[in-house]
Amino acid sequence: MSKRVLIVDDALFMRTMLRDIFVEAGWQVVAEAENGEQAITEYQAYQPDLVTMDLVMPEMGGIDALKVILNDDSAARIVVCSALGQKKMILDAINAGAKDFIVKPFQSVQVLEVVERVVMAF
Amino acid sequence: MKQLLPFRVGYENYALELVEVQEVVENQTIYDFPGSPKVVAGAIGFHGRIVPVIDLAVLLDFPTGKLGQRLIVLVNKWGPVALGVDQVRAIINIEINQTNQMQNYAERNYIRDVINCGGEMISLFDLDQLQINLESLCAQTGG
Amino acid sequence: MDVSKFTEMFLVEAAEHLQMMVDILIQLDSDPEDRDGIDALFREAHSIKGMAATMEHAETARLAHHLEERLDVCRHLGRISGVEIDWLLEAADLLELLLSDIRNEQPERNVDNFIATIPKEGESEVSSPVEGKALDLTGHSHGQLIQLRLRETVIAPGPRFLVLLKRLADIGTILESIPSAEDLIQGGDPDQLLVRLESDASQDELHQELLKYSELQEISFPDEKEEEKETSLKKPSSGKTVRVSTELLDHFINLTGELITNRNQLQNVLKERNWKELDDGIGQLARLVKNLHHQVLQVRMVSLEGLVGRLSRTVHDLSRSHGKEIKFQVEGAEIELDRAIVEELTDPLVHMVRNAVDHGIEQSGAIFVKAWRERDQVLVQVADDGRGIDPEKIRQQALEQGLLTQTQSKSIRDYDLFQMICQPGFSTAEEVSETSGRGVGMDVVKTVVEQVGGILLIDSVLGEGTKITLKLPLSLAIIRVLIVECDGSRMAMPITRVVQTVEISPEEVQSSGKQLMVHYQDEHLPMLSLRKILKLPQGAPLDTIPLVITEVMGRKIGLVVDRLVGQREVFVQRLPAPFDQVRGCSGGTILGDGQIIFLLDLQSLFERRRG
Repeated sequence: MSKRVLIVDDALFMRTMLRDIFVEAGWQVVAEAENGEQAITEYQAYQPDLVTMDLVMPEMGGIDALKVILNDDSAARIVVCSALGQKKMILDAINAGAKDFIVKPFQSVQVLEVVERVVMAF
Repeated sequence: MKQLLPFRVGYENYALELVEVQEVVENQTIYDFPGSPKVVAGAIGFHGRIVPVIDLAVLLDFPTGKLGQRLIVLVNKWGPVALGVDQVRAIINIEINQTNQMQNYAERNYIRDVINCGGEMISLFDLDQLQINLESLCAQTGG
Repeated sequence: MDVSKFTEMFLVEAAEHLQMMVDILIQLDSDPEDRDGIDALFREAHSIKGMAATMEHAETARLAHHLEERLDVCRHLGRISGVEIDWLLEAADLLELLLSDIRNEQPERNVDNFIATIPKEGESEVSSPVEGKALDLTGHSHGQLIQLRLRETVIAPGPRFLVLLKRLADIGTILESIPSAEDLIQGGDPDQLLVRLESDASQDELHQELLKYSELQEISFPDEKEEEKETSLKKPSSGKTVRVSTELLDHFINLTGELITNRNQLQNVLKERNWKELDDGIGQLARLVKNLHHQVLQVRMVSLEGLVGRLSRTVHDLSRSHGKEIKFQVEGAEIELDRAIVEELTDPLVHMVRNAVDHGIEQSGAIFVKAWRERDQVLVQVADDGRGIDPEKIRQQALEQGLLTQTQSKSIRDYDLFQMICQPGFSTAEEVSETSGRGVGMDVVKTVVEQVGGILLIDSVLGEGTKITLKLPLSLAIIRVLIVECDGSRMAMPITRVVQTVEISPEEVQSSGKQLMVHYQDEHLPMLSLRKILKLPQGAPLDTIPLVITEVMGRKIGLVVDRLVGQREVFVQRLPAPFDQVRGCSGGTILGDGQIIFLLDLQSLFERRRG
């Protein structure tokens, strides 16, 4: 059965790019969200195997959304996406329970390596 | 294959190799550094350390803008020191070879190499030269 | 047996024993029948021998063994000869070189030639077996050690290591890691991660899991021994060891306890929003932090005793080679100063003492070294009762070199004249040093003193002697500064360099030609604007003019600033090269609110202004 992913990013461009990467690798993109609040709703609705979470978004940012999701489901697997130079935010996210991180701009092999190992981890 | 971090100063495109970059920081307060040469815009606090900031616009003779928006902190081999630039762009992966290398153009100051990246000219910034010139600029202060 | 991890400890202790030997030898020089002294000397040599043998430093042990034998003979005779003292001092020098060989990880130099010079007074072939204590190296640690290194291209090493550390924590229990998760969250970017993991997973399984991280360049499972080598290699050789008394450690532990109580109290206050108690809690915190700061400073403090030992050695050696008879007196060697300052001062003080012997004292006399505290400063004085400095000779020399004009040379005070021997180039001419009674290199001495934030004062009376006094801050790293404001930015200067701060009204400003002057305590001081010196735009006229009275180039001046902000204690950072070369700035500090304040180096600013 293919793995199910929720993509969270405020930029349509990034969402499309990630969707392509996942679809090509045989994943199922169950939903997309463009801010933290949507992410929480979609997560509750679909309980995906993985979330890719942008850190900087309007309304509710990635770290806050991550905390809410993990509070409901401590087993949630969330990989955060950040731009270069957001080291502090990445550290906060990992500290708050993100499983791994991807730095933009990225290449599909990097993304897939990270998400595969996160989903495979026991 | 090299990973380059392209950035803009004035109307020129430059790049550093990613391995030379420690971090890109934004919106920092830059504090005055009394007695320093003009190219030193001041200093920022970076993880509890005082890191001098070089204003690349001044160094490269471009009109100066609002500094502190984008600072590239170099790896410790070079400093610590930060470069103030106008804009930082997405990382590019590029194989540097004879077809895109345009060495003849690399005669200007602080340029190690010029690379044709899909029709766009990117100058590889020369950190060695910067370091040598900074040494003499700092030693000359007050002269 | 792998003893490499004890090398640092050995070096520190051996150096201490060596210093003791030299001190005792100097004392024995004036009292060669002091049996206790000879016994103590024997014990020092014996200790060095034992340590060196344990560490398998054969040449050092061999030399120490010969010293011990020689001293055993002296012990039986109950006296030590001048020849023997000199020989033993030379041996101490050689031991020092051997220690530096060991420190630099070079093979020890051979001591055969030196041993051949052993003074023959009595024969002794008593050989004592080289004894070595067995050192127990078996640690009682468990768990699997994992060492990870990232590829150079990995973008955020700190967060990457943090992810790895968290992943390992899922697989097992992390007993220990360098750096720790907390260190990583603080934002460090280390080049390797060392983890001790307790886990049911086999080494192979761990390896398989870690292979999923293509960011990793190196995954290794070092065994204990290699790890010790690794960490001891990683330690920078310049890392200095500080001995802390258990009493001081107890203080730290008690303070930590109080801080924890204080934290709990503050957390409660926050919950209850009890603002009155918040005030108390913060007052308490301020007291504790101040106390802690004070105690930490204590750890950095060392007495001047080691330094004084070197000085007495210098006097001893020089007076012997010059055939002069010199008494050496010390007062206040127990005064403590920041370790870094003492280290910086060693060479200048040796130089000053050397000058006093070479040029101050003619045939016989005395040299006094005195140290004492005055508020938060330490004063160190080197005085001699020699011929003194002749101000006339300096006046002439300064005129000849064009350092003074005819008019200046008439009005200049002796005090300012004496300062001129510290000018670069002035005292380098050897014949000047001879006749003026002071040697070369005072410019270097002055520079070092000012680098550590101190000032140098010279006082001399012809025919009676010379006193050179150094006023020094207690600590180099943490100093008290005066913060001033100038053209919107704040800067600081060490309080040791400030005579006084005053505010004057514009009416009090007088002028003498182009120069603005101010009357201060029976003196007319030139007023100089900091804005002008720093080439900043001129400011608007002020109702009251804030002035910092300070001393530069041996003269008092009134420095005009925009605003006097206040005093505070700061931790000074040196600037990274090449920015440490910038004239006018000797370091900086980051205040609690993130503000960076640079330290003005007035002396170099004025040199710059002249230049």
